[in-house]
Amino acid sequence: MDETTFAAFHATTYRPLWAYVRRAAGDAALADDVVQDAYLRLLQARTEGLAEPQLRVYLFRIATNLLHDHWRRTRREVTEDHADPDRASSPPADTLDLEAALAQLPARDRAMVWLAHVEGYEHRDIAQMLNVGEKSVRVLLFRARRKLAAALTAKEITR
Amino acid sequence: MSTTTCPHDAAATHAAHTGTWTPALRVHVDTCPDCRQAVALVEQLAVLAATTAAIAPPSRSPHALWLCAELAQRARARRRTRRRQLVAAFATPALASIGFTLASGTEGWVHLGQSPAPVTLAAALGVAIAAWVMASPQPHRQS
Repeated sequence: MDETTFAAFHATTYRPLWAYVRRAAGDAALADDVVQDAYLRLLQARTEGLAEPQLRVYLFRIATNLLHDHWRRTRREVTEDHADPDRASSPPADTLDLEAALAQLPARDRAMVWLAHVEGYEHRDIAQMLNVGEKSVRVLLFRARRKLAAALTAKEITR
Repeated sequence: MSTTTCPHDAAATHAAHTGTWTPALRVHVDTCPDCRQAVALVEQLAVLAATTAAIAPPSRSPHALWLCAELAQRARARRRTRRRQLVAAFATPALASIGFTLASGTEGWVHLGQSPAPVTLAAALGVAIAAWVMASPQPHRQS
């Protein structure tokens, strides 16, 4: 990949990647570090012959692995901070509910839901990124969605 | 609600994501609570994704990332070369002393009518290591 190709690739992937890592990690500062590191690792990897969609999957996979490394190091999952400065941008109330419900999910479930429902990746790609079996993705995704729905319902009831 | 996945949920999710619906799938989603839930989630998450992406801080410039990666690669090549030189620095004297020790012992072997093959082997290894070190790529000099 030459520098011009990389610049174009960076322009199209930076915001989606940051949003994914931010929601999966639950931490904006960590997202900044992971995203930057992911691009550096991508540039140092042998990616000749990969088309842009494959490069994109590879980039998300690197970011996911970096998140896993971080969680292994800290031995705990990062949870959402209620005093999150990102919320100062005041998204709609429904979005806030979904954001809080998403934050209650385990990290892998958050990542899986985001990759499938926001990024629109196929189960095969998600399996590669999260190091799980392709057939397991469907079931795990179904369960994650169920948990998310339950969390949203609980918020509705307690409102 | 069912406890197993609907076989159409991946297709429904994909359709909701891309907007490419078939009439049959649309009818199915209207009657399947799991698929309806999946489709609703795609729509809600799209809003959350948009608001999250909007608050992404400005990235380092791609040019800066490119330069960082270049420097990291050069540093790695330098470390590799240094490691090889270190190995050579330790291995060559070690092999030389082995060769010397063996050569000292050849007198006895010659008396026994055996060939001093270990000495030849040690010398060949020394030459091979020297050739390998010479052939290894030299690190770029940082300006």
